[in-house]
Amino acid sequence: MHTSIQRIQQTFSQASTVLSIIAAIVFVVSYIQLVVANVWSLPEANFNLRGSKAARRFSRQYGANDPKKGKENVALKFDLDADLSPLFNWNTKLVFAYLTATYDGKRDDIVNEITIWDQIITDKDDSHIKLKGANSKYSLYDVEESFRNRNATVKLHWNIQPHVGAKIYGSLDATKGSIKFPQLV
Amino acid sequence: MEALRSTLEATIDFEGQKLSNLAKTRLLVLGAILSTITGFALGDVMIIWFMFAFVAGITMLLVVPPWPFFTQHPVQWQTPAY
Amino acid sequence: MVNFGAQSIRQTLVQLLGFAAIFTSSYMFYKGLSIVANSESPLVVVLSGSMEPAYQRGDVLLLWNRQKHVDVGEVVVYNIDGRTTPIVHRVLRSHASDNKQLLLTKGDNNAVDDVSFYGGRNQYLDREKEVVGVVKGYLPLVGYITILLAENQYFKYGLLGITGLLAFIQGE
Repeated sequence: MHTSIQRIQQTFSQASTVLSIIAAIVFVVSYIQLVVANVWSLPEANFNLRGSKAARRFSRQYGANDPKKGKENVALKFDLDADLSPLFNWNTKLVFAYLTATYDGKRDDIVNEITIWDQIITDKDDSHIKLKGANSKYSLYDVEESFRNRNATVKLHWNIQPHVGAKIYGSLDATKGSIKFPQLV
Repeated sequence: MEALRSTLEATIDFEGQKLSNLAKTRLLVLGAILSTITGFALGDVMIIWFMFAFVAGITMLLVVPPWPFFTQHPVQWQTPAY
Repeated sequence: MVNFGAQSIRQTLVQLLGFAAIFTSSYMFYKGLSIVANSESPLVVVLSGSMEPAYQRGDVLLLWNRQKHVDVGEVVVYNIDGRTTPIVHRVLRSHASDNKQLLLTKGDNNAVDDVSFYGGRNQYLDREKEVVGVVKGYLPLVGYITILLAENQYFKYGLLGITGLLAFIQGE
């Protein structure tokens, strides 16, 4: 602390240490708030499949690597009702909500999971998802040529991106809504 | 040249160093506690950083320049024997 | 002692040794982190705005690469052969078997998925070969200094100027 430079260095390094301790405390407190709000056992999401349609698409953006053969693409229409407001506290920067369909593949050890719809939620006021007759955000296609009429379970996942700390993940089941991929005629 | 260097160096005596170190630590910790509580009360994390940066700035202003209260006890050098 | 201006040669060498110590310990830390996280690049700076508002340009991301399979919804950093910069995007789809996983990614702020980025005729990423790591945590805006250094002329010269001034002040 003899010269001015030393005092500047010392102040700066102590401020940095204190700052990282503040960040750790903020994260721990906000995590405890999430535990208290029971965010890993939120009530089930209400998912209802309104309709589904299969079509053959031919460009690479729709999964076709052979422009002559094309790829089976599926579009879904659905309702979704889920309340994600307990996820919002002072340390929540944003919540990424995404609806996925999980289904089997041609071998026993294959698991497929594709995202039907997703949304970035930045505010607690927008956190109650109420969709009626929404369309699937992405055109759905499988690694193989077709979904082969398979059944899929639907789950709503959420991901909290905090201001400080590690990302936090969780999901809500939607057991009432399982879907069956339509056959391409 | 030497005059410029010694002004920029801004050395302070030992009692002054103790005092500045104490002031720095106490100010920063107090600032941290106040900013965190304010942020929690207002439900806003960004306020913590701004408040703390402000307190850190004040700490710098108070601790770095060679204020007179840091030079109250200059070192008493002995007179040389020759 | 030979006088070299205000310092002796020995003092200069001691200073250089100090710098070398700082440099090598930082390098050791980075390589050690690489080993722990099993990733060739465990710290990445976000360069594009394709993941906003979650990640801004200048955020530093901490990666972890010990997961065998990556989950849908996680944010990964991947490298395509022939591209210089790694891309930070979220996993949209996963098709996994016991020893292989194919992923489709998309940036939160992009309208379309990343198919057009993948090399050749690939429509998916290979988790083993192309994914550098999964994002587990981040430090906001800390990496903006590296972006400034690389892109902003004034910042480079300003930093050099300040370093020179400090060396002058610290004379002895």
